[in-house]
Amino acid sequence: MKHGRWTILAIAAIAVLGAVVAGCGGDDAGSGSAAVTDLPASSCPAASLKGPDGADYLIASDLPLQGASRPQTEQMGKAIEFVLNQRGFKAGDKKIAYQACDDATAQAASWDSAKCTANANAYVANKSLIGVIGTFNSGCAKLVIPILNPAAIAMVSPANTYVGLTQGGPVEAGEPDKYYPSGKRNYARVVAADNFQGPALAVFAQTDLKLKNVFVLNDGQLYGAGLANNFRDAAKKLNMGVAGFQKWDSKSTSFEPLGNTIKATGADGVFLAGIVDNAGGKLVKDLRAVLGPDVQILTPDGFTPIESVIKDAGKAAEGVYVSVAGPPVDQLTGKGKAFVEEFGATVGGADKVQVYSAYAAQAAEVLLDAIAASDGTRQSVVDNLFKTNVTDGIMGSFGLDANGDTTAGGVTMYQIKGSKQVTVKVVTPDASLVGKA
Amino acid sequence: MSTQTHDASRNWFRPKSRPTVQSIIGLLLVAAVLAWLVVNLIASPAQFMTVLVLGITFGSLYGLIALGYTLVYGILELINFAHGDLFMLGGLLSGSFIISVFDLQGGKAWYVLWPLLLLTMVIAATFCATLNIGIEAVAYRRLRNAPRLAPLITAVAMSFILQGVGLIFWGPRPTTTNNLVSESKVFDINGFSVTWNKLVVILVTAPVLIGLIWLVQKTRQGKAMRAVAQDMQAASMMGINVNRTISFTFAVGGALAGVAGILWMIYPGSMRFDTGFQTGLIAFTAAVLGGIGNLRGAVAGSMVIGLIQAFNEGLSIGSPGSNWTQSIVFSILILILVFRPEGLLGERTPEGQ
Repeated sequence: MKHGRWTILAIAAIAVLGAVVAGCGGDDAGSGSAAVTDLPASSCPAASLKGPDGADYLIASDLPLQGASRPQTEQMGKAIEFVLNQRGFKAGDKKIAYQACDDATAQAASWDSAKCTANANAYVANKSLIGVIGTFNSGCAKLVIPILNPAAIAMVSPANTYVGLTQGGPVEAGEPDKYYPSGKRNYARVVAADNFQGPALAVFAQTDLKLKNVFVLNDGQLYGAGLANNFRDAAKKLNMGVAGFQKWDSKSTSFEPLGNTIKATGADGVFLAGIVDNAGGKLVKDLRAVLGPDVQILTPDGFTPIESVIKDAGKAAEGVYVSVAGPPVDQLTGKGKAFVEEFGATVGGADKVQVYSAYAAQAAEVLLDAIAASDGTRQSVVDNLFKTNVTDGIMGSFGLDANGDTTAGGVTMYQIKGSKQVTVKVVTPDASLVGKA
Repeated sequence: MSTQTHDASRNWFRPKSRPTVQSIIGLLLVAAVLAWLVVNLIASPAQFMTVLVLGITFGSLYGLIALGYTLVYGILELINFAHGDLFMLGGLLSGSFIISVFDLQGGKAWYVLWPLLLLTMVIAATFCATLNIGIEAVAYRRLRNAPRLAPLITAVAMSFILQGVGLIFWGPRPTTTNNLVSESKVFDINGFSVTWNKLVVILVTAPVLIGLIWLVQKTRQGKAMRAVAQDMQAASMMGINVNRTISFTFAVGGALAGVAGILWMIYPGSMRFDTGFQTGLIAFTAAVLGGIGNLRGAVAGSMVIGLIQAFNEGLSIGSPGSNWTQSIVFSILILILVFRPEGLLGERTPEGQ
């Protein structure tokens, strides 16, 4: 009896081993290349996408695919896929695979610091990985950059706007060097940072909306706190009043009491520096209920996609201003216009294309060009990334400076009107307001 | 009725003695708070009154939840940590009925809106009552004579299970209602205004609370509840069905959570799978503040907590602001437990007096 049980166990073990070996072998035969292994499904839920003859290198996108940002981040992934399809999943002569990774958890309904760190470690561990497009949230980038930096993995963000990631920031000491332990840069972004967005919003509030006294709220995260500071500094230089400067608690029962203190200051505008995931829609709704329709509400790119704001705030979202760095998608020219039309056809119309999808596509192009020009090592991709100079790209013509910042600086103001995102104007803040570190 | 039926080792809320120095410091603190309120009232009366109404609205909502804690504590001496999450499920369920099934948003006519809201309330209350009976039967009944820690841990576990259920069925995004009950003003006196949606919350809560106190104090079933609370064995010997009485208590607490859930969807109108956990803790603090096990105390404590929250976040002169709300509320929990464990209303009386 005892003997029989051992036999069965041995057979079972051999069968399992056999299945595993066969599984690996089958994989190799199917893809035609053994070079690329997928990132773990815990970080990147979907399998990698590659061209018909397999792939030698892997790139990943790191975006929050759960929570209020989802409609936007999902489309950003499609935009990256679109670019890769256009190029036949190739960067020059190198065959590329792409995997979409998720830095959000369902519990947080937003980016999650533990997930960001885990993802970054997975990228470093994957030898075939050569570049990352991401992150979406600056707070997440703060955690990912220092992990990718010693491994010299190129990282191109389509959406991080917190200043301190690349230059001296307003919130934490020791920026940006503490994010780059190797002493060499590996991170670049194709979107203008908040040293443009903050002042642009302040200029817009003063000259176009004629506001005199603006109450500044922030969500307490790196991005929100940084942007609130950028806005306040610019307001001071512009001699515009700041009625108050405070954090909002995303878990608050109601923001109406907060609205009452704002009302008492006589502020004619409120700036919400933060992300919509942190109860942004509810905040807009409660503030509108107390402050009425005459007090202007300004929000930054953290309040995109506007669908999420409208879903949570309802009618109160009407009239809210949203700013996003870069030109509006319907005003893109050349390659950008072609992208909006062709990609738009895949997502239900050119008017459905989100601004950050165009940025994601641009980030993918920048990374793929750097890979194409490289010798196939991680360090070489990073070196070529910092030589980037885009002429007539999807987001127009721009270069990357030594900090990895884009040389483009315009910020577009949108307004929510009839549940649509309507372009108001493009503001390029004066150099004296931008203030380089 | 005597409170000496619980032996001393079980009374972990009870102090040995209360020095007068502490009472003096406490009185000074209360005086300082009152002075701060008066200053704000004089400086901007309209703002003060608006915030006062907000505080009463929060207090009503917390009160409905706090009663669930206090009812169960009164009868079993168990802190049912899953209660806040039960309220969350009630809210999300009524949210689904309001948004998807009945489609009540966007200013429906009153003869459509109110009957269907009432129906939703009955559905939510029934759902939560049934669920709460189930929770008691599955998770607490067999542990009734186990060490105190066992049902407490089970209750925490139950809380996380309910949160998981909320997350799986309703997802991570908040369920939000817009323009359900009119958000227009009932009246507006020099900037002091009250909107219909807040008034509805207060107007529904009041009769529910009165009904509950009547139920516990005047009916046969209430008498049975009080008897079981006082001495389970003696009640059993007198022919009271203890299990059924406890189930009934959980049903009443659950129904209150369901009512709180739908009122929460009317105002403030936004619920997420983790809303119940946080709100539950606040309501629990309110129950302790009023004297846990004491029905009127739970309501009074909730009003105090609601007002503290609203005043702290909504007054302009010398208020610490919303960043401090959590710290203040839970500091009160600690202070009360340390210095006045029997709560604001004095005697801790599980019989609901």
